[in-house]
Amino acid sequence: MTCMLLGLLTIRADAVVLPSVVCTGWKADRRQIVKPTEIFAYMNGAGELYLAYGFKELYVGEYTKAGQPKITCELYLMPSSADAYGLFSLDRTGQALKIGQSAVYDSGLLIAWQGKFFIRVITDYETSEAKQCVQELAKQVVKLCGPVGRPPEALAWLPPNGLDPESVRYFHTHTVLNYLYFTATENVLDLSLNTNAVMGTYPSNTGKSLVLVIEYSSVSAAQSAFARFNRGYLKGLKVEGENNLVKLENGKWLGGKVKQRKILLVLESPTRAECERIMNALVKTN
Amino acid sequence: MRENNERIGEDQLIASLKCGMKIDHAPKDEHKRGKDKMPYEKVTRRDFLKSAVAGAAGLAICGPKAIAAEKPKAGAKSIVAIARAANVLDENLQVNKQSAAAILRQAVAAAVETKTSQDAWKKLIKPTDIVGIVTSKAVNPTHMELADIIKEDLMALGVPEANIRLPQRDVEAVKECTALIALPGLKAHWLTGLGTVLKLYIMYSGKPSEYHNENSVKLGEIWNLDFIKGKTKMVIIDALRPLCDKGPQPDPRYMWNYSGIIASTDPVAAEAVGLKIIQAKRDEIKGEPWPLSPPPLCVEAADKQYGLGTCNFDRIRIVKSGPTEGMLV
Repeated sequence: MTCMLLGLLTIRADAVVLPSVVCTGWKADRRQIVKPTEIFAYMNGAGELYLAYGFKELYVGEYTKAGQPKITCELYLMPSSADAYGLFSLDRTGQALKIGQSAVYDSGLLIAWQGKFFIRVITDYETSEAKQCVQELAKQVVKLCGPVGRPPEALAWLPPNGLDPESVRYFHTHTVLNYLYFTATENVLDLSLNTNAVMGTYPSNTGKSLVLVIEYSSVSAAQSAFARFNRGYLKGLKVEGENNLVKLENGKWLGGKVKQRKILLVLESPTRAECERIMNALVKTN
Repeated sequence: MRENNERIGEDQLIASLKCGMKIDHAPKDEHKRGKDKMPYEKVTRRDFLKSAVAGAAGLAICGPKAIAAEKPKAGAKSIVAIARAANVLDENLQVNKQSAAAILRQAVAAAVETKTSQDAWKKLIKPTDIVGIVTSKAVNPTHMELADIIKEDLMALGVPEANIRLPQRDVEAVKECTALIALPGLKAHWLTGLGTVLKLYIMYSGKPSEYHNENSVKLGEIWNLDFIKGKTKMVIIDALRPLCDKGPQPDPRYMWNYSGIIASTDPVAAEAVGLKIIQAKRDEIKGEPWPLSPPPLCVEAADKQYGLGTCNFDRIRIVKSGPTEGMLV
C-alpha cells in the first residue's frame, strides 16, 4: 500500500489528513490515526461505543494556540452513513448548526455527521475564540468527508404521526440499547452488529410511549429473539390480544410482535389504548 | 391523581436504581447453565419495577471487608466526607492548588475523624509503606494536582519520595505497593452507569474488556485480587468537575463545577455518595427523574457480593463542609 510521511506518522495515501493549521494561529500538535484494535489505548472503555457501530478508523488532531485551550478534533470513519447518523443521533442536545448534514454545539463541544463520518470537536474549556475555532474547524473537516450520505432506512420504520423527531435514535447493539433504555443485563433481544434498531418517543397528554423496532437477518432470527424476549423479560405477565399487550409493574403498558424480519415493540406506554394505537400504527408502517 | 401516582412510581424506581434493588434469584435450572452466573448478571428493568412497587431497600450484607484500615466497628457507620470550595477551579478550569489542598485535607481528616489530615494519614499509612496513588488516566483524567498534594502530605509523614508511586495501569507496580490511595474522577460511564471508584482498578485485572457490559457487575472482584485486597487505605474522589452522562469521554454538556472532594475509607460508601450526586445532577438537568442507564449494578454487588463496603445510606454518615448550595446530597 502506498504510504506517505506526515511528521512522524506514516499513513495510507487514502487516509484523511486533518489540517495542520486552522483558524488564526492554531496549529496541530499531534495528529494520529486510531484503528479499532487500538481504541482502548486511546480512550479506554469509551471505545466500546464506537465499536458498537463498527467504526473503521479514527483520525485525531490536537490543536493549540498560546493563551487558548486545546481543541481536539476526532473524525470517525464509519461503515456506512447510517452509522455516522446513528452516533450523532445518540444526543442532539445543543444549538443546531448548518455544518455537515447535521450538527449541534454546546459548551465547547460540537458533534456532526457527514457521509460516512461522525465528527466530534471539543475544546478543553470554552472561550469565545475557541468556540469560533471549533466551528471553523468542523466546517473545514466536513470538506474532507466526501459527499452527503443517506440516513438509515430504519427511520421510515417509525410511524411519523406523533413522533418526536429529536428523540429518534439508530443503533445496533445491546450495549447501546441499555445505555438508551436499560432493558436487561442479558442480551434478551439478540442484538448485534447484524441487527438494525431504531427507537423514538411518542408524547401525548397522558405521557410518553417509547417505541423500538429491530430488524434481524432472517424471519427465524426475529422469531427466536422475540421468544427469548418473552422468556427473559415478560415472564409471569399476562399477555393480551394480537399485539401481545402486557401491563408492567409500574402500571405502564408494553406491546410487541414479530412482523417478517422485524420485532415491533412499544416498551412503555401510559395507557392500554395508547399502546394498542401505536402498535397498530407500527404494524401498518412496517 | 394519575400523574401523581406515576411520579411517585418513578421516584421509587430511581431510588431502587441507586441501591437496594430486590433481586429475584433465577430459577434453579437457570443457575445450572453456568455456575459463574450471579444474580446481578440476570437483572432486567422489571426487577427494578418490582422493587419500586415493593419499596424494597434492605441490604443483607453490609460493612467493609477489603479495606484494611479503619474498619467500622459493628453497628458503626461508614463516614463519607465531602469538602467543597467555590474557588477551587478558576474560569479556565485550572486548579487553585491552595484551595484544593485545603478541601482535600479537610475531607481526609473528616473521613477518619481526626483533627488534621496529617493525623489521619498517620493512622492509615506507615513511613515504611510503598504507596500507590491510583488516578483515572486516559480520557477525563483525575486532576493531577490532587495527587501532588497527597504526595506532599505523605512525604511530610516520612514516606520517601521514591516510595510514592503512580501505578495507574501497571500491574507489577501495584504489586510492589503496600498501600494504595484510590483517586478517581467522579464520572458517569455509558457502559457501567458509573465509572469512578470500583472501576478504577479495572486495568489491574489484566483483562479489562471482560468487565464491560453486563460483566461490569463483577468489578468488585478486582478489589479482592490477592495483590489488591486490603491495600486501599483511603478513597479520595476528585469531584472538582464531574461528568454526569456520556462518560468516560468528556462531554461539557454534562460537566459542571462541583468543586468538591469526597473521601472515605469505605470504597462502596464513597461510590454510593458519588452516585447520589451524579443522579441528583442528572435530575436537575432534565427537570425530571433521569436515571443512570445502565444502572450501576456494580455498586450494590460490591456491597452484597464482594463485601467491600456499604451502599446502604442507613449505614453511611455524610460529613459536609463548604458551600451548601449545589451540594446535591
